[in-house]
Amino acid sequence: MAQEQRSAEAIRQQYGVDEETIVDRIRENYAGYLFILPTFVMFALLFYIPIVQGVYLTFTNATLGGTTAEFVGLDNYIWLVSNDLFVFALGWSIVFVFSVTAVQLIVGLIAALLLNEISSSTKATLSAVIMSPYFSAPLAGGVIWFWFLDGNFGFMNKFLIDLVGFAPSFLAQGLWPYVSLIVAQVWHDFAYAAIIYGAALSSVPSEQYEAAALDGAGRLRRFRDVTLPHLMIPTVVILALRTAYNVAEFAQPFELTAGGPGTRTMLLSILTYRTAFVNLAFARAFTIGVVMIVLAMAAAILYIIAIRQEEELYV
Amino acid sequence: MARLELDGLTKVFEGDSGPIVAVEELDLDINDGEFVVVVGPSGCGKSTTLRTVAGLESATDGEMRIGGEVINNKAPRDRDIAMVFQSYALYPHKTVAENMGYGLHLSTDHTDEEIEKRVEEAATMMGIEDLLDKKPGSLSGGQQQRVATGRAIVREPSVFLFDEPLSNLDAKLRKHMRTELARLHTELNITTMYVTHDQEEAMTMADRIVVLNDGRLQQAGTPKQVYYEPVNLFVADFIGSPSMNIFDVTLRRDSDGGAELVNESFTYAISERVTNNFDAADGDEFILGIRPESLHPADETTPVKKTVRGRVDVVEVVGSDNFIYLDIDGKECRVRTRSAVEPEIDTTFDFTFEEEDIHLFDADTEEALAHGTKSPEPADQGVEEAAVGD
Repeated sequence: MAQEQRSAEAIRQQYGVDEETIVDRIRENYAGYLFILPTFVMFALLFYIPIVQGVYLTFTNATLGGTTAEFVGLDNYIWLVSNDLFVFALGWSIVFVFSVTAVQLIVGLIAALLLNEISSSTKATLSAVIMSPYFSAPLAGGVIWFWFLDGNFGFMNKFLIDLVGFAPSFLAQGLWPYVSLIVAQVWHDFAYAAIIYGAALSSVPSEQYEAAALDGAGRLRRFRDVTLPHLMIPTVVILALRTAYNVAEFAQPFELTAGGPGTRTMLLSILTYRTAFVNLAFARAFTIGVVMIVLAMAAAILYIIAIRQEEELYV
Repeated sequence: MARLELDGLTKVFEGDSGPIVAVEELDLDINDGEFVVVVGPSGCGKSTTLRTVAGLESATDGEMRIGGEVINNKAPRDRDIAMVFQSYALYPHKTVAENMGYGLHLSTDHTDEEIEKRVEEAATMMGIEDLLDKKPGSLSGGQQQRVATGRAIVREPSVFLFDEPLSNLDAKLRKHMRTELARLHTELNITTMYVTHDQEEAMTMADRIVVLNDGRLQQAGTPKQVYYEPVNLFVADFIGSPSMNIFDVTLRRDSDGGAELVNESFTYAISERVTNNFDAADGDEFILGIRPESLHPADETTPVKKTVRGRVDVVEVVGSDNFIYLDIDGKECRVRTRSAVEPEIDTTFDFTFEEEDIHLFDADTEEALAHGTKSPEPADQGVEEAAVGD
């Protein structure tokens, strides 16, 4: 029965076929290549070329609207590390990104778990309502939270003053602006995690819960031994994507505090904006942008290392 | 002693368009160590019955007892049962050994060493001792099936429940596992309730077959009983492959005590030995059932009134036998013959059969009236007999 193993060369010789070259492949599938060509060109023009150009800019002293740009070597990077505001913004950005991502993960999981328990008829409506912040424009979210938290006419202030007689200034006082920014950001994007978790939950085979129940596992046990393992890979996906998005988050924090009071809640994204469009130091703004890319990439690499280990989960 | 008794078991689901009765007034006794196969078409309530016994569904009415103890309100874990699912339901992140030992860890006081020992014993029994450190994802379908069965036997339950455990396997492996599960049952002798839609599986494995349709018990009996003495047309049609040939016939009595079964395509003479089994007046309508293997080619000596003629539509060669599909005035008739008989397509084919092999059913109630020259036993007697026999 067993057929003898033949080398690739022997088979090619026997049947007179040549090794497939890239030209062969293009000739065979030219229509497919034709279809992806426009996307490829646009991506190159609008994405890859600007990135390369941007990285080059960080070695110059280009300004917005300026006519000349001289090569200055690593000056911009030296300026970065010696700049107190940048160092502060980097630290605060890291705290902001990781706390927002972590809380979004937890709130999203809870929302997905609760929605998963609901019967089908009300589930769709309730999901839409709970997920709605994610589908609102970040600017609109900023307006809502501003109306909610503003120290002069905000709803929370009025409410607390009526109730307990005093209220902190949520966007200005002490640690409150930091908390406010994190809470508002979690509110806006937790549904991202909820959607992915919801899909993962509904794909857990019900027989596994039944088998676990027959094996004697209670509700919590079933969650730990059946549900959680199915959520490991979705978690890594959410972490990687959410981290990148949260590093780049600009609109809502900018609207709420714009980095203030003063520069006390300065995020890298807002600092980039100010450096580029207020101070017109375009090259320096790009340098900060490079740091943000490195931050997001470092996180992604960490998660990818983690997901590699997760892959062994099922083998 | 683990006898499984179902007493008027009823399960009603609340559907979108009103209540649906999935299982209705099901009475069934499964003796200690008996292997009972529940069979029926999809939607007949067989899986619901099993799931209700397992405690995954609650019974709407009726009583379930294991070893004399009512289990209706017990949690699944306390019913002393083990179930094998169609999809196997293995935990993907646990190794084979962890999968098998999970239930023992949770619901018994055994030490880790004892559990390990029992898992190894069960694995040896299923021939999967080399796979204990692997995860289910890297196993083939057949191996996963063995792990799922191993996970059930390691618990040493008083009742095994199987929910179509072999239907995800390819034909060859399915036959192999069938033999293996039968061997396992001989070895362990644990009361087993096995659900399948495959009547061949039911015939080959069961001590006793339970046929369900529309949530109601049709017949419970040994494989031979349900095959040779089906209580009604449904059982006759469902059991056997290819299925029984069915003809609408009218009885014509003649003066000398004999009778004829008349159909627009043929006339078949029967003797008193058949008609004596039931009240039959001239002009009564019946349903005639005859199994494909009971049909033989006719020759010159066959009387005209024992001969049926058809046109050959398709001849299927399966190796050991030939299946000949005949067209008798627009009705299909299946004949199973020796492989030597291979008529040309579109030729006429005359065949005959013995009156000992015919089944007659009431045209209205579809209940069996005669199996050849024997009268059918009362519907529930088959159950009692088999129950006592064990």
